[in-house]
Amino acid sequence: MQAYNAPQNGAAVVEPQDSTALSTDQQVALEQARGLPLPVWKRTRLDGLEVDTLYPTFGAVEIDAPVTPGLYVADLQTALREKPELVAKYRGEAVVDDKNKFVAYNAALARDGVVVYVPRNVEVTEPIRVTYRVPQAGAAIFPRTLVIAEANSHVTVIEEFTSGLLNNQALVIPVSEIWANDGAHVRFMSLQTLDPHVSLLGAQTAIVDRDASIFWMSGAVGADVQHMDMAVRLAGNGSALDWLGFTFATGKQNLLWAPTVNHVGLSTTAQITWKTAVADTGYAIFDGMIKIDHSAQGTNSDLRDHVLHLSPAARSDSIPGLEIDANEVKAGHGSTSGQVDEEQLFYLQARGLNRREALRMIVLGFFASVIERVPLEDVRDRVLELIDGKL
Amino acid sequence: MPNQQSSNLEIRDLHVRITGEDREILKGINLTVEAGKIHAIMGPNGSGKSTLAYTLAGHPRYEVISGEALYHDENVLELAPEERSRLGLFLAFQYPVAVAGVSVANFLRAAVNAHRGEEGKDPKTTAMPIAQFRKMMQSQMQLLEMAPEFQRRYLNEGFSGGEKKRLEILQMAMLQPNMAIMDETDSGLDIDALRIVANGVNTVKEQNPEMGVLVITHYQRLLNYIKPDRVHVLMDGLMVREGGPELALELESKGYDFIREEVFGNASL
Ligand SMILES: Nc1ncnc2c1ncn2[C@@H]1O[C@H](COP(=O)(O)OP(=O)(O)OP(=O)(O)O)[C@@H](O)[C@H]1O
Ligand SMILES: [Mg+2]
Repeated sequence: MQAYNAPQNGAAVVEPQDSTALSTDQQVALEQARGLPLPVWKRTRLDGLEVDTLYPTFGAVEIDAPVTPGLYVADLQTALREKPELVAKYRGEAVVDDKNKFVAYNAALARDGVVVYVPRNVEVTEPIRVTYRVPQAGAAIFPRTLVIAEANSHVTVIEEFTSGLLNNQALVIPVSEIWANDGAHVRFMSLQTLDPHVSLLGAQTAIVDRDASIFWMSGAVGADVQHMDMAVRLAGNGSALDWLGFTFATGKQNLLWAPTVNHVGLSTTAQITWKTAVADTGYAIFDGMIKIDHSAQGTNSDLRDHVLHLSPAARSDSIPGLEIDANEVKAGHGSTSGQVDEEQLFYLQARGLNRREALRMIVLGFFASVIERVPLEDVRDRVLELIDGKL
Repeated sequence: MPNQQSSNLEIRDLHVRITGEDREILKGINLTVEAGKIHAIMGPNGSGKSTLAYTLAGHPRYEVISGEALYHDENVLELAPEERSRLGLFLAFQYPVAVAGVSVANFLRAAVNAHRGEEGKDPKTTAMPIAQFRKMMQSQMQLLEMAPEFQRRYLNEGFSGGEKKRLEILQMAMLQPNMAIMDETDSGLDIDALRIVANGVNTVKEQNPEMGVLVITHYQRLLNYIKPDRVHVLMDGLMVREGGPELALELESKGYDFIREEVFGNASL
């Protein structure tokens, strides 16, 4: 395994053009971010990142929310004005922002963002859609998503990191934090469809309380480099997680997902299923982990990644890990990897499909078991279209 | 292409080996499958029947050393598998292949539309309207007594042996070929399924009387339902005997040894 080198040019990642415009808190956070070392990531290619060419840019968030009594949805700036206590109470509480340099930068510089607050017992039937769009090459954006679902509420948030076609580098450093309080049900779908000049280095965390549940979908088809650390803490007894993910790395993309699930409460359940396809000289990494604490008796947990190789030069690393510190648990993990079967190709060709069409059908079939479980038809169609668009 | 004029399939002096190996499997096959006629090939295990079928369909594992297979004035052995299919050639596989995540309906639709595509035309304009496709699929599934759930299942995934064979014939019914090769479509079928599948084949043939059929089978029983005009015996890579339907009956009662003796002069060969 060849380890990537980090950029050599000092500790700064991106510097605001005018740091005097920052609040005192932000200036403190920026100092802290500057002081943190760059992470040592063996499987994430950071050495191509020309940080001197990037500038923090704001105004990249688009929000589309239904009108539901009690539901509060606002962009981060508005929420800071209207509900400062709410933001202060939750921001930075789920994600640890003094360890990871990139997360620390987000803490200092996040201005684009969304705050979703769903009061107790409120069921939001229509999804809330949040799009973070890189406005131009050279931009660094710092999206912050906060979703707070109070007890017994229901909410769906669809988040997408995207851009138009760019001709040069850009950077996205996103942080998402989700709280599902007792009995709440949160569906969180996060798609990454960035131009292949963009790098995304981010973190997402969810905390799930008693009898609450999360359906999470993570999908990556875009970007040059993606490194997304994700953590779900099944804190409350009876909390549950159903997590679907997919990656399609083509060209020279280097796309990493690192989902970690921490079972803390009694009788918690988690099912994590990923589908990964790699083509050309693409490189995809699934670095998953299930941690079962001593307190988490009665856990039922499963972590799987299935990889399809479409070219001999494409690479993947699939590392499903398991750490168990309780004795009454059911836990499984594993990964499979394979290539497109010549017999399948021939069978489809023998029915009139050309090789390209046959391959397309087989690859879409490979992703089908994940796509079919996406609960919203328009998201399913979008995912299909995104994967299809790369074939 | 459905409305093409009828044509025979003429196989001339066909020599075939497994790609990358020296041993010849087919050692000079000559056979004409006539448009509108039903031909049966019988022969012992390992004699080369599937090799012939796969070679005609264009499986990359089989390498043509020499010879040709003329159909509609083209040597189909030079065409890609999908071009052969679009020309009207159909192979019902002895061992159909499973493809996870691809539903029977989606697959059939892609196959039907691939056959309707035309050079230089937008596939959207040539595709069969979805309502027409559904209607066609439903009526053909009824003909083969297949439960409607089948259309949503993944292609051959977890299908029983008999279900796979039915699906092969459903594909044939949907694609309406002009030349159909059936490799042991009867194997794995129970008695009722055999009748249903054979009826299905006969119905497709009635709808398109000019279709030529090449049935590969070990058993006379299938030929009670799908009545052959000619019966051919393939042995050790060669066509060694040809006759009318009575030849199948003779083989059923006597086995292959008597032909082997006549042809090779040695029953233990
Ligand atoms: N892919 C392959 N690799 C190696 N040998 C093969 C392959 N396919 C066929 N053969 C060999 O070629 C010969 C003919 O096989 P083939 O499958 O054509 O026989 P068959 O007549 O269809 O037999 P059966 O009645 O058992 O279906 C056999 O000796 C077989 O082992
Ligand atoms: Mg065979």
